[in-house]
Amino acid sequence: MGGLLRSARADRRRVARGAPAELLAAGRFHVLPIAHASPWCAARVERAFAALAPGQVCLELPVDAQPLLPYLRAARKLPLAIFGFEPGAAPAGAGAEPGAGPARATRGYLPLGDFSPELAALRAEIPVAFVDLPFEHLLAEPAPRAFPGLELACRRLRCRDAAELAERLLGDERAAGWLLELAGWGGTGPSPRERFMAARIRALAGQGPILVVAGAAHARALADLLREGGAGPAPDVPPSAWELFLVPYDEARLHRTGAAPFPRWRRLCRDRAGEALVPGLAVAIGRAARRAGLLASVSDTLELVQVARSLAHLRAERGPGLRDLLDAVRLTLVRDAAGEGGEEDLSAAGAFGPLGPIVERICVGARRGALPVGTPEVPIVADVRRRLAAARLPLDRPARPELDVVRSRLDRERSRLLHALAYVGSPGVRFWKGPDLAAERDVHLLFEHWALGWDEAAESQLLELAPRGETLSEVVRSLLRERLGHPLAGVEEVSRELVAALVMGLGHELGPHLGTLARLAAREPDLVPLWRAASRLGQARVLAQEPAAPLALGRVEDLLLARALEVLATTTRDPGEGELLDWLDCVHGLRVHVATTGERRDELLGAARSLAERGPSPLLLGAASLLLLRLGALSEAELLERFEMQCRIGARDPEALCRFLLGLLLPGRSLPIQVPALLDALGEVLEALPDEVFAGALPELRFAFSALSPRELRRLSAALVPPAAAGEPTLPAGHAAALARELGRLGLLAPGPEPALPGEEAHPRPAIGPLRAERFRLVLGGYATALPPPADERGRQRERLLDFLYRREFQGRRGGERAPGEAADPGGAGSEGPPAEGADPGAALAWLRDIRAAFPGAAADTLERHAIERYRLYEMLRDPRMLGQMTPSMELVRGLLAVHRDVPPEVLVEIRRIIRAYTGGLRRALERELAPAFAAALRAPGRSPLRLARNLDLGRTLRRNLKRTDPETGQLVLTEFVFRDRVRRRNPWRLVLLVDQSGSMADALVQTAVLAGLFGSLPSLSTRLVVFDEQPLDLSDRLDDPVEVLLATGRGGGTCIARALAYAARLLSEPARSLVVLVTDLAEGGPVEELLLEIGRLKEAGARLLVLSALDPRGRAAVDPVVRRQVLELGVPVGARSPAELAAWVAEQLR
Amino acid sequence: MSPKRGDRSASQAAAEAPGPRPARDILRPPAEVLYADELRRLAADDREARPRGWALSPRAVRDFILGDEARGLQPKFVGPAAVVERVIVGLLGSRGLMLVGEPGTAKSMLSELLAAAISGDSTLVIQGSAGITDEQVRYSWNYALLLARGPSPEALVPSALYRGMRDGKLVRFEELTRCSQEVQDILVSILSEKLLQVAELGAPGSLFAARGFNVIATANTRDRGVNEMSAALKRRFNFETIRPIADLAAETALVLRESEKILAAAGLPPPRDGALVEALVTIFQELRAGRTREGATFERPSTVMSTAEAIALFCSACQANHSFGRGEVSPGDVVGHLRGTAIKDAEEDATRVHDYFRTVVKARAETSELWAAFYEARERIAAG
Repeated sequence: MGGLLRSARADRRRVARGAPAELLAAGRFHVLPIAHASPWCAARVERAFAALAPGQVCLELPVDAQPLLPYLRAARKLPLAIFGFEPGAAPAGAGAEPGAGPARATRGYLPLGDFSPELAALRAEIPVAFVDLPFEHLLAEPAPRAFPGLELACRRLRCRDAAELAERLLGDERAAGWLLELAGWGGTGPSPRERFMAARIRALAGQGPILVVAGAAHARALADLLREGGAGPAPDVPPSAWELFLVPYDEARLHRTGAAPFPRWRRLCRDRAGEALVPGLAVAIGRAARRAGLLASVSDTLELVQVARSLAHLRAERGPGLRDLLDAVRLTLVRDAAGEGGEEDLSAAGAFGPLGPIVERICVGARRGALPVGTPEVPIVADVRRRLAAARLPLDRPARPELDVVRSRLDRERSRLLHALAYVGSPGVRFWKGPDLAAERDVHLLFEHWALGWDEAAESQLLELAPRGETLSEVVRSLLRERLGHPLAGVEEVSRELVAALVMGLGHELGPHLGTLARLAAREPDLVPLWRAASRLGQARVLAQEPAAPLALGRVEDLLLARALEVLATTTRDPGEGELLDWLDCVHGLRVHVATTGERRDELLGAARSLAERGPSPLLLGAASLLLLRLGALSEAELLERFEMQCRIGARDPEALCRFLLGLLLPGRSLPIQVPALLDALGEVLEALPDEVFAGALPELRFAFSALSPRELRRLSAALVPPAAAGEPTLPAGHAAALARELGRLGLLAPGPEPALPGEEAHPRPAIGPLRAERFRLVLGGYATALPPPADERGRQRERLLDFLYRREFQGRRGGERAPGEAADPGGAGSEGPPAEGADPGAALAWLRDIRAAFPGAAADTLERHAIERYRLYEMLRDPRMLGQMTPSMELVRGLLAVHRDVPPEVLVEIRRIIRAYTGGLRRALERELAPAFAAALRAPGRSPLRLARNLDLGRTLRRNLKRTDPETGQLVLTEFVFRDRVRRRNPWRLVLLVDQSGSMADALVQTAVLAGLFGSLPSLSTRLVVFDEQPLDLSDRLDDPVEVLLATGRGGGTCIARALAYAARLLSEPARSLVVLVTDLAEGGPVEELLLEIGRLKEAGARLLVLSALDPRGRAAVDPVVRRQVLELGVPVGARSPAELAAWVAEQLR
Repeated sequence: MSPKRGDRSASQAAAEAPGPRPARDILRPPAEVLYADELRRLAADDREARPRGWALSPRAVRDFILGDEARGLQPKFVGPAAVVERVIVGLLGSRGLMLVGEPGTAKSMLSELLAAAISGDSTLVIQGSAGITDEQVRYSWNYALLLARGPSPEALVPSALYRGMRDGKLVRFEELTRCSQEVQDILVSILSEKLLQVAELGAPGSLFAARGFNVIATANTRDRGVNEMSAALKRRFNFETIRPIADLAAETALVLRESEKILAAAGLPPPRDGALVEALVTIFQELRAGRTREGATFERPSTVMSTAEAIALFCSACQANHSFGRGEVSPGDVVGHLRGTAIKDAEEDATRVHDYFRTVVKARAETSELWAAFYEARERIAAG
């Protein structure tokens, strides 16, 4: 480092001689080297102005930004940025092939803040020239090479950051001089950029000295070029077509992009020196921390300032700076191990922990700039503003316009504009409620409800779209083209885009895209997308208020339908579980379409016949049978035959019957009413099923029948019960016939023998028995009002629980057209069912608890699965705000354990908090309960015969020998010694807790997890915790943390206790000193003999066993009685014990 | 030839009076003995202001710990300079210093260096454990003397903390969070009042801490069976998290340097194969973080893969090779010793490390002979 020291000495001498070392003089040009975002350099610029009084100033800003100069001068509220974009270019990455290399930038920002030296130069009242390359080429330039010497100096002086060091040193006149020497080292000659700048500077006319403010990396080269004078022509720079505008910018972005880290600090440094700022900022941070609930007292703030000053002194700085302040915050205020994130990470997970966001607010800032009045705006921003104003929508305040698109032309214009904005993804508009033709939702509604909030985020987003076009329409077209051309777009996506375009008013431009759709349709193998696309297009054609919807739309629709029927004919497998309802819906839709339009009837018939002949699955068979019946190809008697056959199968395999019913009922709702014999056959089957099997099949049956509407269910139930005596209102015979004829003419009723409507019964129906009535009532649900409610408590309980869940089926429906597979929307209006209850978490959780009592295990599991997957009953448990408000309770914890997989991290934080709170309370309660049992049996040391000094019980020894004193010396004479028994502590007993994690044992699981932690803290017991379903999972390493234990459990399929016991056997190194506690309801999934074998083995080895069915003596000990007896015979106690009793048992064994 | 005078007097002295052993005979000399020469030079050249009770100024302490080639000071702690600056300044005030981190990140070594440099004595250590009692922290009694002559200062057996307060030195409390709550709370009043009361001795029993006294505590983040620190105690400490070395080159250099020292002490030649050590350190870094250099994540083993273990592994491989005469250390030997280091109490770790070898090391084996040798030896992890 000799060179560095030498030039430093030389410069000191130069300074001592009085020459201004900071400006590089070159004739009438004076080059002032700066760092770009440094407030200290801004101050230097002002000082240079005062000292030099130049006639002109040259700045390192792009030449094509010169027209923006007057607006920059007038700007009062910063930060702002120079925004440049390439008109007509798609954003980088759109459609780029992989491996094509980094895409060329099509837009960029050059931010400027209060602290920028360029701005300080601008504000002076003298002519300013921008001399750098055009913006496009500037962006393409590589980053200037870092000073080689500066890195070295940094390491020597042990500074963390070369950039900040450069900034500070360049702001300090004394240091800047020799730093420039470094800058000149290792130079490879002036770059083309520097030549360009020098040529432009030289070309300036005007008198007086000219001040050039340039970045330090270029300063020396520029000075040399200017001194040489006329050296070489200006390099040839291709003209740039980019357009430049001034846009507002914000401080958070300045920090994030690294353009100017910690902008608020820089802004404050403009006015005051760093060391004066530190105490004020420290106090601000302390106060903010206290408001946020963190530990930060006044003494902590004092310590903070003190540490910052000491650090600055240690680092040989003049006064504490930002780095010292931040380091001091980390040292004094951040307690606990800091997060995993990096040092610069200011989020809550970073090195600053919970103080991160506070530091961000105080040191980074949140200010946003504003453009001075009259600044030309980016065209697309101006266009959108103009259109919003023309549509009379407010720009300055949030609004909720309600648009009547049918009757008002202005509202139609507004709707088109808002749809277009939503299409480009603007965050300022949100479609709140109304007919959504693209998503086929709520199409019967007439009014559109929007939420409009035009803010900075919305404007910034528009800037990102600027390269696509100058007006909103251009941008929309460009996006549309891109999305339709996407390689992964399928039939549904394309149809959705086409409808979206239609709604935005671009219907007349859709021609070429329809061809794409047709091509895709020809290749599509699935029924659901084809039918959906067809129905979507058909609906849009009719309902969209667009006179320009072309005929071509209708042709494509036809094509889609033809293909859909083709696919239906060749279906071989059941659709997947999640798509079941959608598929059946599509079949229903197809049937209705064929019936209403009368076209393609033969094709549908052919498809149904082919399906029925092949009969691949009960579901498809059901659907095919229905289609054939409706199309008149199957008579009722034949259908009945098939149904009876299915019922016979169903006696053994209820699931197949349910599937058949589902296939039959969903596409054809009123079938059971028209063919009452179906109900008879079904009733026979239901009556014949044993109670357990019936309860197990109940969820699926109920689900199948909830395909019908409440009205239909009522009629069904009425059809089951024989008509009451005269007096009940019935339809007059003539009217019924007339109605039937009319319906037949409309094509809504299949031709055939007139169906029997209630009131015209041809054969009086026999009364049905009470069991059948009850079972039908449970299957049909609460809407079957003609059937009596269940007589016994259990039946009523079951009905209540089923209703709670399955009535959500009715909430998703609109006027007959069922929203396909749609989740329950608690806020949905206009539902057919009872008024939607709000997402009441308490009720949902109580439900989860109660189904375990009312239904056998498998059925309860099915119900739970339906609740979670189909109805999303527990979505509220994934909302962190909702979780934040709920009080921890056993029900909540049970619910959380069901849904805690695959949740985003912020929800997981809440889940942990709740589980921790609950288990903490439980633990405290248990500790109190268990203290006597533990203290009495486990802590009392006994006496031991082993006489070792280590085991000497000094207290007792002294007390025993107090009476013996040597009279002369006055000293105690020890003759009797007492030793403590430490053997037990060296050789602890082992306790293995095996817990079943199936749904029915959730309560016991939580309590055992907490208990395991308590047991684990005992010195004389070595505890292991294993949870099992199909496989055992050893969670002993997180014994002390019940939260981790509970979050590691999952919901497996079956239960295999034998395997768990075998694993436990491996854990016992000394079986004679081991206790095994098995917490399960003995519902073994595998052969029971293996279970008994394992238990026998363990007992033979000498271990002590205990089987707990619940940890609550009053609890439901629903143990399988047969297995229970067998286990008891082996000599293992089985039962429900309270935690205190368990602890007493453990203590007793250890004695 | 007659033995040199120095030798004779040394051996005579050793034979006559059983005093302290010479440094080269002690298995692990404390830092102030090991680096006595450097400390002496620093003290002599130190022109800066020293805080009361400190043997060196803060800048000299920093140079001691971070090293300075120009002045012949070895670097002793590998980590960002800012961390060292913060911990030094953290000891200047009235609060203690708490070093938190994973095992093997050199927290104890750093606390030893700080104590050696600042107080000249790094032996005032209290080792925290679950069974620690109040006597080991404050003071205990010579019971025979106590019963014979009653409470008196001679009967008092001072703990390390007591001695540190009395003499104005730094006290090191290792594994503070493993102590029970009662023991931790003892520190609360000591750190705020800087006063230790011996009730049995009455008024003269109050010990006020001399200037230069402070407490450096360490805590492990890996143990789950630790008691939480109370908020009152947390407030009396400045916290600093020590992270594992992130820089591959720095860690490799550290491993090479330390291995050289250890092997030289055992009489072995220094290691020559820098590339092997670099590959080993890469393996350790990736297993530690659960992420490869390229950014792919995988399931990491539950054991701590710290730098200390890497050094120990390499040295034991070298020593085994030397003792059983197999020539230069090969990747296969290193992998053979990896089992004992990486797989401690969980059998699943063997599978995880094996998977790592099967995927990551195999991918690298295609382009590098060294990594290919590692890959070929992978069976030795499972077999042991």
